[in-house]
Amino acid sequence: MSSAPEPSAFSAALSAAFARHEQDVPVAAALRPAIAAGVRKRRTRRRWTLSGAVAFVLALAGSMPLALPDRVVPPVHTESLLAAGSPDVGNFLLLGTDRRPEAAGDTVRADAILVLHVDADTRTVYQLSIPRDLLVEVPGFGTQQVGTAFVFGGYELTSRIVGNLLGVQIDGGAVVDFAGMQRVTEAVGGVDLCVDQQTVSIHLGYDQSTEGVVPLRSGMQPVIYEPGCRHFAGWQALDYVRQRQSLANGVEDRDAHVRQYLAALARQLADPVKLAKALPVAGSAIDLHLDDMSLPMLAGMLAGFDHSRVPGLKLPVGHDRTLLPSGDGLVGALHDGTVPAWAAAHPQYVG
Amino acid sequence: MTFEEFVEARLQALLRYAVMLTGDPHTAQDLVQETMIRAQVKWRRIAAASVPEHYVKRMLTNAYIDLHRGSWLRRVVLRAELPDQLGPPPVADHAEVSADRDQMWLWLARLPRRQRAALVLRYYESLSDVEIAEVLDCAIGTVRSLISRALVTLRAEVVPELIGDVR
Repeated sequence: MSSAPEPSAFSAALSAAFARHEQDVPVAAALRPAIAAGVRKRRTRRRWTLSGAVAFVLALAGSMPLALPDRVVPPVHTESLLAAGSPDVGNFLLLGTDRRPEAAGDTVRADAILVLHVDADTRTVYQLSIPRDLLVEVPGFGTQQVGTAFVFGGYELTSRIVGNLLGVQIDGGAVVDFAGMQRVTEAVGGVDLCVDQQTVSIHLGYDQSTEGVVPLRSGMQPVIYEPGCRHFAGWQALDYVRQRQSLANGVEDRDAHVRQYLAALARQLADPVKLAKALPVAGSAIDLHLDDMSLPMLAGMLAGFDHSRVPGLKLPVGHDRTLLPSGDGLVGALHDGTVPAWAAAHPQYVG
Repeated sequence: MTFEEFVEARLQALLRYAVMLTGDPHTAQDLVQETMIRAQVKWRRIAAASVPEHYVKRMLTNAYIDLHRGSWLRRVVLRAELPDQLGPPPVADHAEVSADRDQMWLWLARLPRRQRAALVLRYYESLSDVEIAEVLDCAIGTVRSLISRALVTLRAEVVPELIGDVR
């Protein structure tokens, strides 16, 4: 022992204080069943992480050709991984935050919230948008917008709340900010998007002297995205998906833009060369909550899924900004793994 | 050593350590439970460490230190309600204070967590500074300064006659 000498009476009193409380120590045997149960549950979660991870990269990184070269990514057999899970669904949470590097220290909210629901039967990944202004109960903080829950407890609390809301277990997920997604998008050379309505940027404008695009100041001509399909550079795509004030239905339309953007990114990443460029960038730009999985491992499991489409779903929300009772059947469908049938029966929520 | 053997041999000791850290048996139980589940998942790495128990203690200590720092959820889930800055414990009359042998315990709860962890490791677990540094994942000098700052606080606050130390 290299303890510095202390007045012995004081250290003795300290040791005595500890010793007195040994009577409070629970019996270890009582804890062992809980640990064993937790380990079993964690193993199940990990298995789900493996199969459901497909969802995350699919929606983030999108369609992955079957011919992904084995030398790039370790070969992993999705079939067997999926077979290991009993219910053939997985749910992943993707949080896009409004963190801006220039505003360090500001409160960070979850601006875009998506549940990526994997349906292994149809090999489809659904993107379910949770409106950021949906009202939910946050324990200890009362009724709050779901996007604000991120302020109180980050990814963990948000995933707990979204999981409770939908009655599903969130198997993993990722947090990314706009700058991170912009870097990923730039790494794949931009995306092809179809603008559905005129969208006016409140963030970017044209500098009158240089005609370059700069952060918007008053009196400046803002960047405007006119309807029609074209190629978007990374900065354009991310500026476009941030905008909601000029949209007819605000957040709802903005969330549709986010889903269109993710689907477009997925199509870009069908190209293995682009995927290879994106993975290292994604690794640094995205905060993954997937235990020990790495992005290349995830990418290796993509083969076998329907790469041609990543359907979007709107959350059934009432006028009071809360989830409709049972989510108009969605909660049951998520639980039973019958989302494809639900989507077919509820076209108003698809798109 | 397998995970099961480790649990068999060390679980009770880890629970004791957690109670001394948190001051609360329920929080201690939750903390140990969560730590052991995580330890099982990465057991191979832990078993390869020179002293697996120190590795697990480090996980446990980090979980304790992080209890309130980042995650509001953890605080709620783990039921611990020991905000970092509480101010002094409620003032009691002299007779009551004298009767309360747990005055030391109350002030321990008000120490910054790393300081408390360092005290527990030295005065309860009787670890050397080198071992404490390993558990806390810091330099030996840091261990010494954590302990000396904690002792300065406690000495200034704990009623001297209770411990018969007139400084």
